Amino acid sequence: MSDTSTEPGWQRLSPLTLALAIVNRVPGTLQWTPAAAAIGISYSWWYAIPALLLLHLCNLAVFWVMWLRFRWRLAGASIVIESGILERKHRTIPFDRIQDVSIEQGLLARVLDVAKVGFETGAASGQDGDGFKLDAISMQQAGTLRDTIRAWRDHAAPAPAEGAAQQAHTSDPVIFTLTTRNLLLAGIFNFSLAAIGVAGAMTGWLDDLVAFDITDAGHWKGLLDETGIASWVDTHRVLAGSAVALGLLLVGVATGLIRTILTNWGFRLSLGPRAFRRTRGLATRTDVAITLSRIQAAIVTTDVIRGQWGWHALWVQSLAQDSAEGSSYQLIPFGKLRDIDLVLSNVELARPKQNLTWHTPAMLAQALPGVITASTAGIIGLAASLLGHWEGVAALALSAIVMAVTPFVARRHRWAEDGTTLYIWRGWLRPRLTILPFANVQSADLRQGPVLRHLSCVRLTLGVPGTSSLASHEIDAIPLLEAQALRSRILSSRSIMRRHRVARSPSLAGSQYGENPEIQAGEAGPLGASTTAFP
Amino acid sequence: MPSTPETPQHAEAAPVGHNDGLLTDTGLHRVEATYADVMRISTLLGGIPAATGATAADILWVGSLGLPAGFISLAAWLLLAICAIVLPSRRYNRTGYAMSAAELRVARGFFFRTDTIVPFVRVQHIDLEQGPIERRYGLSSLVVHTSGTHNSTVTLPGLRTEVATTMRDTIRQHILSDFA
Repeated sequence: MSDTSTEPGWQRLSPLTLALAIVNRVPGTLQWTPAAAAIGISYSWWYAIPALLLLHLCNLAVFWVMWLRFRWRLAGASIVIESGILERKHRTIPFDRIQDVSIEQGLLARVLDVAKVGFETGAASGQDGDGFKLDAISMQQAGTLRDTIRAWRDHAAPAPAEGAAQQAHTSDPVIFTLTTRNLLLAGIFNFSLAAIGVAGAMTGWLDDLVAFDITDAGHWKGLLDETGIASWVDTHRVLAGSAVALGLLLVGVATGLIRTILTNWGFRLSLGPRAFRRTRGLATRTDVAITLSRIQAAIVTTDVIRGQWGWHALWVQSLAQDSAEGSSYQLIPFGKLRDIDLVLSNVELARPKQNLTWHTPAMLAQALPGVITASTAGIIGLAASLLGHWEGVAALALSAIVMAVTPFVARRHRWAEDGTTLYIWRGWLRPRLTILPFANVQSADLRQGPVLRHLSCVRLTLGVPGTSSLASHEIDAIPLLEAQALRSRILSSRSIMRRHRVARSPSLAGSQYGENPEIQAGEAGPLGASTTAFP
Repeated sequence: MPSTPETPQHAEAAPVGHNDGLLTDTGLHRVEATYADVMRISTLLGGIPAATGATAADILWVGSLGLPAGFISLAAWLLLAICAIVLPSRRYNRTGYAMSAAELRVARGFFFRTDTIVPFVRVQHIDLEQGPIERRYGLSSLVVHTSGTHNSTVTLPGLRTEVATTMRDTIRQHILSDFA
């Protein structure tokens, strides 16, 4: 390991990485605290502290060796990363294959001015994504690296205006920012019911922590009598109750606010030559590139409350996956429809036009699962309450509510198409609209179970690259003939668009979204779908 | 259709299955009739040990609990009989495929029916699969992979190996020509 850094060109990660690693490990070592305490109690505290120190020292040693054995360099037009203590891994990533470079900084990393650099390649980053990351190098190095890679790609592509393209890096046009006012507003809308639950649970937890019973009225009464509050509370029982409720409400609001501010502070979306760049975050600041050509579908979400004021969020389903967000990239966390339209127009997508005809899938097939669930619950509830378990009445009431709501929910599932794009609405409390260009559909399924068969309907399921927990590429119940026609329209439109792309590709290479020729040849196979989407 | 695979002898372009619901349209080829036998044998290979196990449990365990024995064995063997004798022919009846100039269509399933279309240009790679039982009958499965997450593999079982090979080559040509 002695010669690693002496060879020309090889670089190590920043030594500060060790500091970062140690700090990141602190939460992990907390689990050893009971063990240390056990040592302390059963032997002597003189052993416990050294034991913990030793643990940290061992950790540090491991990190140090890993740090020693990790090196990277730029070799020609590629980046080479070598890692592994015993089993060496040598990975070469050609600049060609790097769609873009993302930069991520945690709180400490910002203080130390280092950053984690990730390389967005064609490969699904899920499996061994670590090989595509440099954790961490100095912020300045990270910036240089990104500029080098982007500049290389722009030079390699026969772009007519190289200077202009170069210029674009430093000043990519910003197409969406979250103002402080909207950030706070978003935080309030992010009101957290879960936090109230946690707050409730905390009182239980405090019970265990505090020696006396927190709900033991006598104790509190004694405590309060001394301060004279007790008599006041007694006389203002309703007021006290509402104060508690208000407190819980505040906890909910505060949690939502804090969470929103932490993730979306300084949210900024800009448009680079090939990718959206998204910077956001207070504690952990991330700078993520979302390659335009890999975007497969867009999802507009809202909920019944936010929707009242016209606030929406925009996500995209991409071939690359944003691990932190359950696989869809959020482009707009909280914005008006005009913001969404602007962003969408950059990827040749649009919200459905006013004059589209919306189709509602067969009502009965939609409502049936809900009705079956509700009636099962109702029967069980009825049986239980007849047997004297009065909790059954709750189930009965719940089933009545579900019954009443089901038709509304069923009605909410709608779809429309305009010849090139399919729009699917789904959801009642949290409605979401999936915008799916026909050209990105890889395969189409018609499915039919016994219920749908009786209704002469089928479920249409479309295969789209990438994954997204939000997107819905499925229409639940369409009449068979209609479904067959829609399917052939979707699949035939693809071939038209493809020809269109091939014919236009020479001029494409010069345009601002042009790929260099080698990439295009290489990408056409696996990513053919994505390149057709944005001619 | 410039590149239809050689049609299997009894793959008359007749409606597959009964005339209800999905798959009523003509133009679907049947797969080989022996595919039903393949399904039967593989069901039996998996099912006989399971049913035997159920019988053993019935005798040793249910008996020891003092409950009426025999019902579990009966149910297990009945289920096996249905799965091995009745269902394979139904499923065979419901399995069909069609290859046009640009896409592969695969229809499968008896109870829950699926009808999938994969355009050739969307195919990422193609597998030919053959298990030991299929090999005895000279059958193969054609497995087509797309880059979609849903449905990223589409399997067409019960093809004669030569037919499957021809189909694979046809699809492969389409992939190549599109990106030349």
